[in-house]
Amino acid sequence: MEFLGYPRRDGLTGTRNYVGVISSVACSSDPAIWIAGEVSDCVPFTHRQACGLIPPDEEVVYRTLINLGKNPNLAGVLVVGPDCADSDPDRIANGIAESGKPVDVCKIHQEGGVMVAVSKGVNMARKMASDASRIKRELVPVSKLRQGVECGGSTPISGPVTNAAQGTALDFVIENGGSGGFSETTEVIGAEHVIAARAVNDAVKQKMLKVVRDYEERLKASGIDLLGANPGRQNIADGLSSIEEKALGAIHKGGTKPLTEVVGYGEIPEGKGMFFVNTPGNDLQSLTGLAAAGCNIITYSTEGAAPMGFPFVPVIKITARQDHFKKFPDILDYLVDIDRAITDIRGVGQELFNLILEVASGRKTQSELIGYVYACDLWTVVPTT
Amino acid sequence: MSIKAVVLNLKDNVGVALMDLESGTELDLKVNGQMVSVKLAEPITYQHKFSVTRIDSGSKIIKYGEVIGEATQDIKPGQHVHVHNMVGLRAKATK
Repeated sequence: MEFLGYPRRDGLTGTRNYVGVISSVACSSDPAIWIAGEVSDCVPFTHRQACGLIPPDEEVVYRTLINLGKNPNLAGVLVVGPDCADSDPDRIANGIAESGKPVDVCKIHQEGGVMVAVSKGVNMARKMASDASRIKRELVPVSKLRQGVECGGSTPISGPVTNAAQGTALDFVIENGGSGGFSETTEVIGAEHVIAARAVNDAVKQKMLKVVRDYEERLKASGIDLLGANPGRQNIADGLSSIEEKALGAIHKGGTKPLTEVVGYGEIPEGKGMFFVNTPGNDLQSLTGLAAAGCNIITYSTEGAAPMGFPFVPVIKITARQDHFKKFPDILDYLVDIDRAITDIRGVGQELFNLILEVASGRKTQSELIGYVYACDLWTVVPTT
Repeated sequence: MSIKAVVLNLKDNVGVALMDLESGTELDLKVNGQMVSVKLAEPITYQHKFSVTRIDSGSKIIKYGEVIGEATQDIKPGQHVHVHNMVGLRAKATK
């Protein structure tokens, strides 16, 4: 089983071949967007964080930006940032360079005016994009796929239908030697024992239980009544009766394979099979966590028709709602038939797996086609000071 | 779509409506490996749950083969199972 991907120097494979323009800090977003807009096959990653960071956010944000840069879907990376004590674009660039890919830095205070810096950045990105355009897709085994699995706008049908479809496709990826996993720790609360029971050893099991416990404790310490908001009003109207029921539905997206690793936000799993990434339930922050974990393709079940994708990782959006699928043709990529999912989930998973291979080989998702991919965010835990 | 409702796991004591179902609808469902006939005691909205066995107050509500909460009153077969007659164990523990 193979797909057509872009080989990288570190042995990984991209499903896309972009030059990434990563903004080191929130205030350098605009020049990053401008530079990327001037060059073909160049995409910006912007966010609202990374200014005046204190532990533990500092380490987490830097490693997330570095590991986003290492994602195999980026052929090269330009880091754009200010020349300021609160941001260190060089630290990000040096981290990304470990992957062996071309990396450059553009500092907006160093060139005698922002537009001079932007012009220089455009030239840097243009050269990288030119080099990237010489890389050809090659047939590679499915073992080079790393599938991120996401869900949002859950209903009681998401679990056994769209999440089960994603989970079954993930099982196929793993059966073929690939890796993948899911995230959204808040969505797991109430079903962590089920995921933890699938751990390959006690250390992984304890880590799984710990990330959930720590998340719950942090919410409690902030005075947040998680059980008051989960299930939420819409969840209850849809028929979800408890946080356990919601979480048990959500974890269907993780498939049925053993849990091999639990990693922190912005960390890259070794990728021996199914893994869990500690992220919030916020879909934008979770997608970033999956991309930083090295996922080169993402599937996303969304009964709420979430409109966005991700700048450099294709996001295949899945729904069980026929009305949404008809109404939002430029948001949703795949419709799961409920009856078929109930009676033949392996068949549905196989079909989705085939779509994953097609998209990995170059078929564009709806969010890629319309360029709805720039709503991004990074997770931080320290309150803004 | 033609399947009206499903019991997702062998161990489950609730079914899930896959379309809006009227009170009195008779359903043949596989419960614990055996075909059981359940007559809905009230209308069940798409995606909502109904009991497929008698569930005594305080007993566990099972969906996906796992505990999703416990009954806060006696529930007869075919009755709607939701926040009015069940509570999640985590939510109960914090009350």
